[in-house]
Amino acid sequence: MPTNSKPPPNPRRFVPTDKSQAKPAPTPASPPTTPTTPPTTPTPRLTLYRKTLRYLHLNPTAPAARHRTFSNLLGDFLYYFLAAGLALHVFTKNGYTLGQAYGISMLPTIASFGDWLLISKTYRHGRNCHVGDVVSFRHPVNTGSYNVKRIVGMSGDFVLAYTPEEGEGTMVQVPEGHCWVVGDDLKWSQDSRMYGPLPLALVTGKVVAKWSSWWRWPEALEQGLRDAVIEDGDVD
Amino acid sequence: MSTLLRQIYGYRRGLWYVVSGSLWGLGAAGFINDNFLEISAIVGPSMTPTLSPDVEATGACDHLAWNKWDACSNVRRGDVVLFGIPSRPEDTAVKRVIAVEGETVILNPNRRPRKGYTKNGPDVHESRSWDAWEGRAKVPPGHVWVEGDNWRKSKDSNWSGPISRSLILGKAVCVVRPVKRFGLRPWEQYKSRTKVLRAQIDTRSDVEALDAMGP
Repeated sequence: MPTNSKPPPNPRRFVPTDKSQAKPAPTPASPPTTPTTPPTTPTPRLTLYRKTLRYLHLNPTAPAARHRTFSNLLGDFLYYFLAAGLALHVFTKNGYTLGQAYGISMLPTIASFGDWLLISKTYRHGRNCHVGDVVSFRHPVNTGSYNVKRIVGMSGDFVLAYTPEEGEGTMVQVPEGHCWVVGDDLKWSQDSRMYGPLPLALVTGKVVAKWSSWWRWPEALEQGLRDAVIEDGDVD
Repeated sequence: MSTLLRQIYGYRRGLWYVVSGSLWGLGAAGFINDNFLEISAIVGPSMTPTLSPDVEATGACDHLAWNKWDACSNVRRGDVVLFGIPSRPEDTAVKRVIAVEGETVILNPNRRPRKGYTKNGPDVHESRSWDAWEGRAKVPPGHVWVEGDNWRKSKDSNWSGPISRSLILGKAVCVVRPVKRFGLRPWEQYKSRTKVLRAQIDTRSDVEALDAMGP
């Protein structure tokens, strides 16, 4: 344990290579990466305890310095690149992710093209989801496609099975573990009115904000339900 | 106290290696588990005696390796799949795929839902929806029909109907534990007795009609 010397230098820092002199011949006696035995050890043989400490790099002596070679730089780059990649994967799986939306089924809430949606993965599998939330889910029929719609009924709720003022006005009760999703643009949306209740296991997250232009701040999405209105807007 | 802090400072390189090593391990294990390979146990009796044959007697269950890459594609009859349960969003189940979209399952009367799984037990409310199929269940587009190998103790598509193919999380690769069954694929020896009528008409046209309407 060093009590009087300054702490060992950072082994990952590079030392400048002195190119003016010829490389010294490597001493055959000592391998370059093994630290020298501390001279205060009473016996010449290392105990198993000290060998374990050295193997785990828990000994106080610094290993040999690293030179700034291309392969060392590449190794550093790969190390940080992989670490960032893994951290990003954990974050997008369990935290937040951005997705691009296209389609006219959620007008006027989400534009038909060019909107980026901030999806919170903490609401996956329908945890803490309520009626009126806009959720993203894996499509139950088009395997592999992800869709975004609004929940109008959770498990146990009674919902209108078809569009208002069309059909017979049949109401269905949403079964356990499912939800009923409907797009905001009732005329042009394919949703639970066509494919039935959506299993909550397919829900990947809740859309909390949308980013329509890169020069504007993201805006929070309107949650909750409103009465249906007939709007003759341009589909842009 | 300051001696302890100085000792910790002296060992900071070792501490850093331990912390960063465990973060690397957790991150890599999580990445592999989410995208490629998962190992999980079969704790229910619905696939006995093919898988976990002693789970009710001794509690010893089989641990399987699951291939999670592109699990929803190329699902075939006979595959053992891990999927999310429609009625319980946080849980997963393991069953065998009997029919894919467009095919018609001739329902096996032994598998009619009954209370307590006995052959002549009283009805439960899923029995009425089973009866409503009148012996033939056509699997809609994008869905699969799954059944457990143990017809006496399995809650599968006979109870809840065909499940969406997007719910499938992984396909079975091989048994991992117990070690004497390592690498085996015991589900391949089992041949399901449920009859299936193959699709006569291509049901991609149904999905294409759906696609043409737009998202």
